[in-house]
Parts: sequence; C-alpha cells; structure tokens
Amino acid sequence: MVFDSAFLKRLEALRVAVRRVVGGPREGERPGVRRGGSSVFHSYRSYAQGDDFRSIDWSLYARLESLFVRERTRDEAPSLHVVVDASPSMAFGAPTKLELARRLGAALGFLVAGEGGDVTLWLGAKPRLFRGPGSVPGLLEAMASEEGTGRPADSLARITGRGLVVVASDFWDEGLDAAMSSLAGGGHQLTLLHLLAREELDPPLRGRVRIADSESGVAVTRFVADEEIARYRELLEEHVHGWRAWAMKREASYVRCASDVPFDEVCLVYLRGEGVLE
Amino acid sequence: MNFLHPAAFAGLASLLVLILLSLWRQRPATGIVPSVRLWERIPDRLPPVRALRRPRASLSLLLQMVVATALVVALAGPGIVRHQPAPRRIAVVVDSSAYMAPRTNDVGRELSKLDSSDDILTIESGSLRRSEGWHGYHELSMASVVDPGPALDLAASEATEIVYVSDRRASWSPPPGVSLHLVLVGGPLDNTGIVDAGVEDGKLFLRLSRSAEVEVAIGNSAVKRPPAIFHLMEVPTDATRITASLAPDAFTADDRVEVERSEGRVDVGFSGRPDASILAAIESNPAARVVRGGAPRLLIRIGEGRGGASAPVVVDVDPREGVATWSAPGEISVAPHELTEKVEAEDMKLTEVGTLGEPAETPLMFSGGKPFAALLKRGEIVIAAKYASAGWPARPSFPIFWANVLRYAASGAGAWSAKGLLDETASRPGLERMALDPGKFQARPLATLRTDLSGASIALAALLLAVLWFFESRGRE
Repeated sequence: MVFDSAFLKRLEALRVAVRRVVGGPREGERPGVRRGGSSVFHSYRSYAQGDDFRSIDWSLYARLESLFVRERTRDEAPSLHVVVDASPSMAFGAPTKLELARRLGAALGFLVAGEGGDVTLWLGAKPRLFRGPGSVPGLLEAMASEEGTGRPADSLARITGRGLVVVASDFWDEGLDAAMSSLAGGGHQLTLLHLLAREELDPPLRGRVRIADSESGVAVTRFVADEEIARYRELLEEHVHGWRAWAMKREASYVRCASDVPFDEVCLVYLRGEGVLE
Repeated sequence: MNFLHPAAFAGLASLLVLILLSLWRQRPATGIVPSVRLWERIPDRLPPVRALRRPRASLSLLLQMVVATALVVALAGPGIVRHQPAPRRIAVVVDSSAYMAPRTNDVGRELSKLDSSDDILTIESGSLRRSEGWHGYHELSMASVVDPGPALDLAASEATEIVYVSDRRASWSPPPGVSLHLVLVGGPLDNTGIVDAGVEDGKLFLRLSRSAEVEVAIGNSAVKRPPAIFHLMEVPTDATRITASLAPDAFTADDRVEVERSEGRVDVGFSGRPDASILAAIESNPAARVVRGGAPRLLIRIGEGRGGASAPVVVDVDPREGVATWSAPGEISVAPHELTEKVEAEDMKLTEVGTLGEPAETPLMFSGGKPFAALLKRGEIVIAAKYASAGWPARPSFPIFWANVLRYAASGAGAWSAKGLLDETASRPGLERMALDPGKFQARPLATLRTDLSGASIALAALLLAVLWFFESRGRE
C-alpha cells in the first residue's frame, strides 16, 4: 500500500486523537496510567530505600515530617487495534469497502506506529503486532496484502488490555454490537468507521428482483420501484443513526463514509471532522 | 428471388432461442447486496400491470426477431435473378489505307448503325490501333495500301462477329465460328493522282493516273505544265528539291509529291557484335557519319542473321545465316570490282572463311576458288570471314575496302528520291458499296443477371439493431 509523498506529508502533521488515558506498553508522548518520568504528577508514596532523593517532596516533609516521594506518570505511546472487516459484504463498491478499510487502517497504524506505539492488525486469522516506527513498512505491507478472514466480532472479543480500537466495517454483522459494547466497557477508546458502498446508498435495483445476501445467501424477492427505494433509504438512515447513537452513548468516535469518497478527503476531512485525527 | 445458401435458413431456429430467452428474462432478476437485512423489512407487493406487460418488451422481442431473420436471410444470400440480352462483342476493322481518306464520313455513317449497347472494338488496319467504339481515324496510312489481314486476324481473336469496312473486298477468310460482315464504302472518286515521280539523267519524270495539269516548282520558280498523263522536263544541275502538285480533288493524298536529292555523306549504322576495327575504319572516313537508330543509308551487321534492321545498303560480316560451312582459308584471291579496288589478296589474313549458301550475283573474294565475299544483289554485301584484330584489320586493304563500301553506298545517296508517292493502287478507288446490315448479326445471348441483396439484408439488420439499442437504452433509463 503506497501513499504518495504529498499525502504522507499532510498525514504526518496529524496524530490519532486520544481522549481517554489509554496505556500502552511503551514509553511515548501520551499521558499514561503507569508511573514514570513525565512532568505530570501522579501520587505520593512513602520513601523507600533507593529512591531518588530528588523525588522527595520536602515541603510535605516540613508539614508531615515523613519522607514522601512524588511519583509522576509515565508518558506512553498509544496502543492501537485495527479491526478490519473482511467479510464478503465488504467486497462491494468501487473502490471496495475493504480496500478503503485497509487504507484507513494503514493510515491510522502509520501514525500510531510512527510515534512509537503498538499497532495490532486484526485482519487475518491471527492478529499481527507492529511495534514502533521501524515496523511501519511491514504494517503497510500487511495492510495491503494480508488476506482477510474471520468475523470482526470474533476479533473484537479477543482484544485484551486498553487502547485505541478502530473498527472498519459496514456493520451488517449481527454480533458486532455485543462485542464492541464489551470493549467500550473495558476502557477502550473505540472508533467506528462505517463504510458503505455506493450501491448500498443508492441501490441499482428496479422491477421484480430476487435480492440475495452476499454473506448468508438468504434471498428475498421484491418488486422494487421508487417507493421501495425510498423506504430502503429510510431504513438505511435508521441503521446509520442507530450506530451513531450507539457510538455517542459509549463515547466512541463514529465516521460514516462512502467507499468512493477520495481517500485524502476521508482522512483529512472526515476523520479530522469527527475528531479521530487531530 | 433466389438464395445462394438456402441451408442458412436453419438459422431461423435462433428465433426460438430468442423467444425462450425473452421468457427467461421475464423471471425476476437477481441482485446481490451486501446485506439483505433492510430489504427483509420492506414488504413485497404485486407489481402494477403496466410493469408486467410493457409494450416495449414485446417490441424489443419483435425487433430482435426481425434482426435475427434479416441476418439469416443475409446469410442465405438472397438475390433477384433477371434474364436480359447480353451485349455482343463485335470487332470492327476499319481499313486505314490511304484511299479511305475520302471515305471517312461513309465509314462513320455505316458504323452508326451498330447498336451502342453492344461491346464494340474498333481496330484500324494499318496501325492495329484499338479503341472502344468508333471515333474517327487516328492514323491513316498515306504511303501504301494496307493489308487488312493482321487486323482481321486480331479481330478474330477478339470477337466472333467481325465487321470489315473498306472500299474493296479483302482476301481474307474468317476462321470457323467467326462471322465476317463486309461493309463496302467504295464508289467513284473524282481523283487524279501522281502515281510515279523521279529524276533520271537530269530530267524530271511524272506519271499521273489520268491526264491533268501539274504545277512543278524547282527552287523558287514554278512552272504549270499543260494536261497530260506523262510529264518530262529538264532539271537544273544545281536543283536539290522539286515539288509537283495537282489541283486538289476528292483524294488529296496523291496530289503532291516532293523529289529531293540527298546529301553525299553516308549515314552508317551498326548492329550486332561490336567490331572496333570496322568502326575505326568507318569513323576515320570523312564521307561517313555513324548514326544511332534512324534510317542510315549503310547498315553494317556483324555476326547477325539476315533479317532485322535494313537499309539501302547492308553489309553482313561474319553472318550467322547464309553460310553453308566454315573452314580455314585457302588461297585468297580478289575479283575486280569497285568494292575490291586496291584491295590486296595478300592482305586478307583471315582465320576462317565461309562457303556462301546461296549463289552470289557478284563474287568479290575467293578462298580456294570459292567465293566467301560477294554482292548478293544490289545493296546487299556479305563477307563470310572471321579475322583476328592483328590480321586483315592491321593491313592497308582493310580501310581501303571500307572506303570502297562507303563510296558504293554513297553512289545511290546522291540520287533523287520521291517523297509522298503513293502505291499506284492507292489512286484507284474501290467502287463497290455494301451497307451494314445489323440484322445479320447473331442474336444477343440471354444473360442471367443476379442482384445480390445480402448487403441490403445486413443494412436492414444494422438499422433494426440501432432501433433496438435505442429502445433498450430508453428501457434502462
């Protein structure tokens, strides 16, 4: 997956917004939950042998006559989980929804890995971890070529720890709601990238049509005219609103976009507009 | 109407396929969507009647069937057959002899009787020039009576119906299967012609076809002589050109003649194998002028046959024809003659000499008593001898002999010659007349003409396809 240099330059000026304190295993530039050497105060504790004298709070000693050391938080790099839905329904659109999902995952992973964070890619049968700036080429390669298998709900259920979780999907999967609710409750910062193909937004169906599901094979036969199309759009709007409401409720970011929107615009307008990037 | 490939009508079975396809197309189309969840929530309903029975669908099928039918018909090769008379190939040989000059209008009048829908080839007998139809003479022979044989032979190879237009009958018989239609446009002509002219012993001699006045111009002075058949008059010694003319009449080609005295210098042409020795001997002589082409007075042929180019005086050296045997030279001797004057026998160093195959009028040189060089007849010299360049050509007799030849050739060159003199027969008009009767031609054969309609069928199919595309595209909108 190749980004042109102009786009990368604009992308490098951004970073993934972190609204919750999400702990990453590696030291970085974001306030973490662990104690460390940043300038941000974390707590006091009693002096223990071997503590650095410079961390002793002498004013507190003057009041309490006990030695306490000031503990500071550790600046951490964020940990990002990119969950890409590679189900058959993602093969619609031009470019396909899956293609856009891969590129968005690559862009977000590029930013996080670039600032030293961990990026876990949930696309294939097994998650792949990319750590730090040196892993960026491998990350981009994996995003471009790794074969997508498995349901995103299963991937979400396997995510442990706390971090940023980006789910790029069309959100037709029945189990996604429960899996993401569980993650949101576990302190993860969730971002929902709701990708829709143009033919989902404006179905090219007319007349008597046997409408088959791309994944389950279930088919319904409907007479499709302007009335049915209007009703479909209403239902789709409900579907989209439902996920947006779900995201708001769980303080998750929600971005809906069609797969044929130019990628630069998705990153620099849609993601920035929704606060995914800053 | 008939068809070249009736078996192609089996392709009409494709109509059945079209009908089946149209029935199949009426089944609901299948659309695959990412998820059917939303569609499941939309109730199905019966389509309105107008959607089920759209006339456009029927029209589309009808158009498809017509297109398929048109293509099948085109493959079958349709055509309309007509039978109509085919043009006949008629070859017209027009006599282009000089005596036909006053007959041109008669020729045109007779040939206008030909049906222009026939395929008419015109051949002029003199030049064998061919043209389609008759547009008048291109070239009339004014110097001789033309033998129509070659033109009629050519016509016989081109057509089975030959029309020969002349003022006299031709002694030519058509080959089997070929019909000759003689058209004679003869008739009396008010003509007086000069049939003979010449200057001998300083006197001009004129003979006319009948008694008439003649005007004779010598240099700048002209003399009108009283009517007579024969005219004889003195010619000044310094005169070089004499013009004799009659009063114009119906046939003007024989009304004027010019008699000229040619220059003393001899134009010499060469043909055959190059011989540098002879060329050098000729070129060294101021009485000679070597020419390329044209009409030389003396032609020297080396190692060639007796035919081919000719001239008033021809010398054949080492001829390929007319020599019975070749052998080593025996004792050479030279006969006294103006051509062998000062030619020494001992100079004749030859490698081979030939025995002449025909009797010589005047033997010139002998080998072992048999002539190998001779004057066969006036103007034709043969030298059946081979020699090396170091042999005879290296001896004085060689240029002397060729100087003798030049002098011999020049002896006639200074003579008077008449120009514009016709053959005597050309001044005698043919008198017979025989009109062209087109009814005597063979009836026109019936030709079968077939107008192929495959292209029209394909064009119709293409047009209907365009209409079909229009309806289909409107249907998609």
